[in-house]
Amino acid sequence: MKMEPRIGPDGRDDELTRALRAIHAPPGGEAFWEGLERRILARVSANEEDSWWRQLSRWRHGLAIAGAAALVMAALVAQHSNHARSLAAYREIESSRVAPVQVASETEREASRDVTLRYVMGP
Amino acid sequence: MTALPLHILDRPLAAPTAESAQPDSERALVHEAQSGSETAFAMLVHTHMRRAYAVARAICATHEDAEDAVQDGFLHAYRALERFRPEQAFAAWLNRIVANAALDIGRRRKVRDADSLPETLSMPQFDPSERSELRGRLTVALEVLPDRQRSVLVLHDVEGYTHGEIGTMLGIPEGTARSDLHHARASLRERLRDLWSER
Repeated sequence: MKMEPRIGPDGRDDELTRALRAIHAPPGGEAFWEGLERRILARVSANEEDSWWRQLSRWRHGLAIAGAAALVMAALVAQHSNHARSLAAYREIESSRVAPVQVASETEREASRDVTLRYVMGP
Repeated sequence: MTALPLHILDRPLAAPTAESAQPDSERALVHEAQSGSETAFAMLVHTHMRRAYAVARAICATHEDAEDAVQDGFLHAYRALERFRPEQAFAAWLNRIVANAALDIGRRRKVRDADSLPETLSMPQFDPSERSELRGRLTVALEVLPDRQRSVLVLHDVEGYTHGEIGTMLGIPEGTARSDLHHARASLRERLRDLWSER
């Protein structure tokens, strides 16, 4: 065996380190890194699509705004329908301003009483 | 007995990792990713995947397992992004997650191997493109090292992490990392001894 590691003044064994580094070096050069990067990001994206809570978290501002808008709309609709109901009730009252049956019958009764009174008091 | 000519690095060749330093641009990217930006997360992946692979490869026995560990690690990091605190170093945080994913894969592989036929166990996986005897012998020597010792050796001597960083990544005390490194080096030295003395 002809190989002998060079031993530097500080005791380093550069050859052995180079061999160690070569053993642990990734295969394929730059293409390997590009592939690894793609695979990492693909896994993260897949996880992102899978996790509904992250989706929910991402959309939470939008959901909060939509919720607030829905509440305002509901309040407006409720207010409008309340107003419409009040208006309908008012109109109903307005339209039934004709004297009620009791009042009408009272009037008839008064009239007949007046006739009786005139007859009695008359000459 | 002659002095062994094999001395694995006393100090790493690779530049020490500056994981504590986190530039503002990265902090902003992390913040954007936390707010749901997939583009920002993709940029973080692009920036950190090589280092993450190196960590995973130091722990996993095969390249394929390391690749799976990196993917698992980034997925876990993405899911846990909301819990990341800005004062932390993102690289260190990510590497810890990747290291955990790699350790998990190693544990699962052990269970699978235990269920498989005995003939398939401890068969060194020689790379057909093996060019040097040193590399071939080193591959075999690494395979017989205990997993943790191998991880510590590669993380320290190849990737340049400190004992403290390795301890954090692997979830062991710094002193244990130091001792593992010592034993791993001694074991390799012993196994490769004849390689140097045949001359």
